[in-house]
Amino acid sequence: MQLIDLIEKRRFVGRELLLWLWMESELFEATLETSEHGSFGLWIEKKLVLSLGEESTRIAAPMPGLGREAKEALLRGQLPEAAALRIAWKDDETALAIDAESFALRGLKLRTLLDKATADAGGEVFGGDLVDEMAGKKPGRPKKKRAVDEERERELEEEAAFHERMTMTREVEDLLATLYRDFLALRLSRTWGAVVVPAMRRWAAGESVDVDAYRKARRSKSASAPSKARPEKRR
Amino acid sequence: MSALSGSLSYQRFFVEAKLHRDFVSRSHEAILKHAMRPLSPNEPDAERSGWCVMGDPMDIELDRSRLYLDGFLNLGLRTDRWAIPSALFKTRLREVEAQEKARKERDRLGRNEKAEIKELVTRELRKKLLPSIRAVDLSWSLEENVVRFFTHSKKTTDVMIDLFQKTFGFELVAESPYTLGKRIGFTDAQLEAWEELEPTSLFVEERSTEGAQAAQKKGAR
Repeated sequence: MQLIDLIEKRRFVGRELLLWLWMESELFEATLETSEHGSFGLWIEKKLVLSLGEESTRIAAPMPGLGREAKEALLRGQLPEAAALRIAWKDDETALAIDAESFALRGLKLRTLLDKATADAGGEVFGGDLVDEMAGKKPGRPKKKRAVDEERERELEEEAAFHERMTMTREVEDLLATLYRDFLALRLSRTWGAVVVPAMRRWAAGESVDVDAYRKARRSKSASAPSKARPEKRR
Repeated sequence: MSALSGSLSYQRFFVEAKLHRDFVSRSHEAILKHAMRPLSPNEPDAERSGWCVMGDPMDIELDRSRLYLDGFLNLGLRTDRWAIPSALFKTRLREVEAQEKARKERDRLGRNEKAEIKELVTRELRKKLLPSIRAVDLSWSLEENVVRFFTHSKKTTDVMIDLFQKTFGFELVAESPYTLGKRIGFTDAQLEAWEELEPTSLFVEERSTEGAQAAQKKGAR
């Protein structure tokens, strides 16, 4: 298979990732886990878009996946195209929307430490000559030198903010990549067809799913065995 | 579209190449060659794109210290465009055409004459207006070889991919389920399974409408 086909003809796998996250989030009461990250909260909120061909269903609600409308769309053959997720992890919460076929992120909200520091200070930082004078401080440095210093200080603050934002962004990306890795281990194994899809059908139809049995089955050794037994070699 | 404040919306691209030892000095020269050159009213170009400093579209000096930041190469993709209001353009065009007809004592103007007047009016109005300026942030994590581009506009993305290739000589590979799987590391067996994947569907016959059935057939691969 050519590279272009490996990419373009398998974009539906991203939709299946969102479907899997949605189902597991509901089955496991919004608490997922990975071996690297431990357990964390993850659920779909505010927006869920499903589609098949030209037919699509857009749901905007606090918990859009919970209603029958979303499950009915699944039973009509639609799969998630985009979803807004809330992730509660490390005493913090992050919100983002993800496009299934490109894994592009939208509206990733980061509550950075620097934001927190500003918020802790009352949301505003006061300063200047008048404030200094009121505080009984002597007049500051000459204006020109101070302007240069302030400009440099502003640049340093921007650099620090950028680094902090990128670090937090990478943490979120890393969490999503780990979930995708775990999903792929299932999706490319016999367990997908034998365990996951039957559970999905029951869940989408509103029937009860034996959560403990599902959890046990998907964690079993065969869960990560590829659908065709071959010697494993990392590529 | 900012990487520096507010919420983040971006696409990821990958550079599948090893960077040269003197990448910083080489790439800085290349960036300067493709720095934004502001539009001039006398030039025919209606739109132009080039690099600027991230978060500061007016800084096209592109000092090295403002671009390279502890493992990141940060840039802005600035696009300037002449946007003459259509009503203004049409009104002025009619005025000049009427003046020209009166001057030449004719009822009609030829195709070439009309084209010349159009060009004249375009230049005249451009001198009175400022081009619109738009900038989108780009951050290249040199250690990860990941480029984060902070927009979802297809047109702007195409411009960026082209300019990036011209500047650095590398092609960008867009993120997709396959590329992420490849970076995570497919086993041989997983890769074989990937090639044979069929879409999962929870489709149930009795719940479908005619439209859904048609979509199902259309969507089936």
